Amino acid sequence: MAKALVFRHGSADLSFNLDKVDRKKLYGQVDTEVVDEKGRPCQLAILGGDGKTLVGRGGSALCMLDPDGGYCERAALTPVGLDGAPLAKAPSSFAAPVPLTHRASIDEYLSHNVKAVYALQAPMGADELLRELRGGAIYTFPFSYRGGLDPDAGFLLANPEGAPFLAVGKKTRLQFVALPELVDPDAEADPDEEAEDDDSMDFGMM
Amino acid sequence: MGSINLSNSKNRDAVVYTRSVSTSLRVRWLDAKGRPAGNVRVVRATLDRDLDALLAARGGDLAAVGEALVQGDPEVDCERVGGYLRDTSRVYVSPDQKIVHAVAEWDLVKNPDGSLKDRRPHKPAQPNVAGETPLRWSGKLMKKSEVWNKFVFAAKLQIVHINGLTYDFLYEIARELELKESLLLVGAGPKSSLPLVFHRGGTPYRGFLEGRTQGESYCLILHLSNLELRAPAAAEKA
Repeated sequence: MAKALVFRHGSADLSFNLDKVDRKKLYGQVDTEVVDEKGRPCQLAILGGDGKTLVGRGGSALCMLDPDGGYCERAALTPVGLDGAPLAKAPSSFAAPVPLTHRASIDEYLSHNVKAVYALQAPMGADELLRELRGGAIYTFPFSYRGGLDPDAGFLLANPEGAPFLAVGKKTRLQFVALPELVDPDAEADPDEEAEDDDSMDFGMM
Repeated sequence: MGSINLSNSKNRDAVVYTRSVSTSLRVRWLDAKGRPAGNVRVVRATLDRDLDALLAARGGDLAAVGEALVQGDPEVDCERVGGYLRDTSRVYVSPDQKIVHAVAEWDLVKNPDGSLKDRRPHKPAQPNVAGETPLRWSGKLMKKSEVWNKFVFAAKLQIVHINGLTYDFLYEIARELELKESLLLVGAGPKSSLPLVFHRGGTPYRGFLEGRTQGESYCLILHLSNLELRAPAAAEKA
């Protein structure tokens, strides 16, 4: 069981237990078994560029290097955006109560890709909040499980059976699209050229 | 940008584009001198020095492996550990650490409790959204107000026109769905009952088409889901 997540609803702090929901728990899963010609199980490995080095699961690591090729501790590095502005680290949502102050519309919720869902076990005293959720309310807030540079959007909602869930997602860049503006032919045409063209058809050119 | 072959409610079909709408924060890391730092993948351990290999070399005696670790560094290949991993390939390796070129793949179908339900030859899912047969208009409309919390919409694609004709085609679909305040179930096959697969071996999804309009512009969204919003049975019992 994961650590409890505390929501601040009005003046009440409500501590919910989380249980991650995934396909494996709901429907089971399909694993792939790979065997050689003798029926022996095979494992996936990485073959290095030298054609000899074989590295198994967990046998490689990512390192940060400076322009001189020197190793850098991640903690000694400063994260910045593409524009060079420093990025601030958001705290974990488990570090302090999450205030429920903003509601989202269905369209707003549907504009996110949901990457994780947690079933919530409501504590005593959450009846009013549950009543709101079962009435269709969606609360939204920044959410970060461990803390990080790019917090997700959290949504507190209830399914049709009234069970509360936490959905964690990322906003998508949906855009309304239209036909490009048509160019006004009068504005583009050269008046002298137009005078010469007239409506005549030059059969001599053929 | 991908493609999709889509039908409207009048059974007219057209091939149009799909556009990814995912976002992610782009981060650069600077060192103390303000210079950008880069990522490299390095070797931590090689397969010929892992626990299985060390055990095999000592007749399966775990105590002997422990003793060897105390006495030296048999798990470290000094020539390779710490080296960069570049231009790599993914390969299958047999129990005797040889690269295998001819493998057979099997699917192990397991129940939610982990028990084995079936073992069958693996058949990668084939793409079915942009072929010659269009995705039919299923007619299965679900009110947005009723369906938004029934499924987990893990991904979405925006469907966009490729020319003036397909602009009209897609705008009409978006407007029709918006007026009905509904999402259309989109599936493959003659009865629209098969899941959508976008590339070979890709994740199968159920599709839900949503339309929004603003004046002369439209937003046609294909929501993708492979999960219902419900708690696992064990949690419900608790």
